[in-house]
Amino acid sequence: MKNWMFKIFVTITVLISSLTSYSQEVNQSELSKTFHESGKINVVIAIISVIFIGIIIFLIRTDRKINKLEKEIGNN
Amino acid sequence: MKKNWWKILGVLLLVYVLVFSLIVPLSPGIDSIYPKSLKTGDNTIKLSGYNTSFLSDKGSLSIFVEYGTGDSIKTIACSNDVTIIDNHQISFNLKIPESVPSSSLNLRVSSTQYNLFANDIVKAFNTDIEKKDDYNSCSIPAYKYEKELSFPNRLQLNETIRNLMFHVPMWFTMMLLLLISFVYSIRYLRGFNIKNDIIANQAVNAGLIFAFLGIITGAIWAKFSWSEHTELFSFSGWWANDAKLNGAAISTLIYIAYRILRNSLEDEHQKAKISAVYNIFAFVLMLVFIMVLPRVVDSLHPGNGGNPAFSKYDLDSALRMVFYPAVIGWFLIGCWILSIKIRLNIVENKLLDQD
Repeated sequence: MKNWMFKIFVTITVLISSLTSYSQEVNQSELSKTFHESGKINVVIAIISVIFIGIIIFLIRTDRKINKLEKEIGNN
Repeated sequence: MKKNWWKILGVLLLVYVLVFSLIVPLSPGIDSIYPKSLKTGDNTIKLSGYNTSFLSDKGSLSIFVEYGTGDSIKTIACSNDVTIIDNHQISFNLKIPESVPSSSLNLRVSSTQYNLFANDIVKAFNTDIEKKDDYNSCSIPAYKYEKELSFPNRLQLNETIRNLMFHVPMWFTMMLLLLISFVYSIRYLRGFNIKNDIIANQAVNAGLIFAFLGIITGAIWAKFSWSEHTELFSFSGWWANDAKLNGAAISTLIYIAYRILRNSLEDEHQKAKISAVYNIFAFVLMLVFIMVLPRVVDSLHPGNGGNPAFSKYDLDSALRMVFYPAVIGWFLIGCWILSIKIRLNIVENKLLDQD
């Protein structure tokens, strides 16, 4: 379980860092521009997604705790 | 089902908030002005609008440079000679007199459909303190506007004003959960009932979720609205040097320290007593750092620099219509998360006692 999560984490980190090096070559990357377009609606989308991800993380952690409790009940 | 009505209410409120905060249009506004400040003499100004329809305003567009607020607005320059490029762009000439009565001048674009404002467009000027009234006066057409349901369009904020419904309720919910924690810490110290300690501890845990969400959403909002560093993958610009941000970060660290303190103690009652006392101090410190200190200095946040928050300039009726349900909805969701955490902790403790 943990090994699997670590792999995903490493993949995302490498992806982001490759984007960083790309964005240094061009003055402003395409992804950056989307946040500064007139209106800046994409900033709102980013913030709603952050809150959604936060709630999902809470769900995952609760799920794990319940798993642990289930295992304890099973052992007894 | 009857017991859970408040959870359903919370979800319904958040659905309402999500839908309305995204479909209510932004009122027409000024997106950018070039050049950014006026100078004495002739100025050729290019202006681009947002959600505007300049082509249908042909003939009725006029530009005013004004100062003052409320009833004492005085016009110092105006222009009817507006070149319409397309629906979102116009250019015009303005002649600014050599001395003006105020260094804070506002630009107003007036048409049959709307009034667009850009405040404080002048940076430095020869200001004439003896207010002369002999500036060329313009006839101000008296149009009546029917205000449609729309969110205010502010320079620099634009669509991100919708974040008010997502970023601010995070902090309000955190404050509610920490208040619950504070109350139950006091209740624990009065009767030493371990159930009160569980509630106080889990309320801090739930509050921290909202504190982190508040910090991350705030950082994204600040980066793209106020920061000059426009590059997405650069480390600068994510943290504005703002009293409220620093206060929020410090109080979040204080509550993280609360969790570390709990984990470092072994005995159950010793743990509960010490952390309850710490929690009472932490709550007072949090109030000082978030509510009191940022009001003393200038800040990006409303309600700072001595101004009361939620004045009529900060929130208009359309924003209130969505913002208040958002706060109530997130309060209910916060309490739901809290109740899940408390129930889980009680079950955990019971299982541990059985072993």
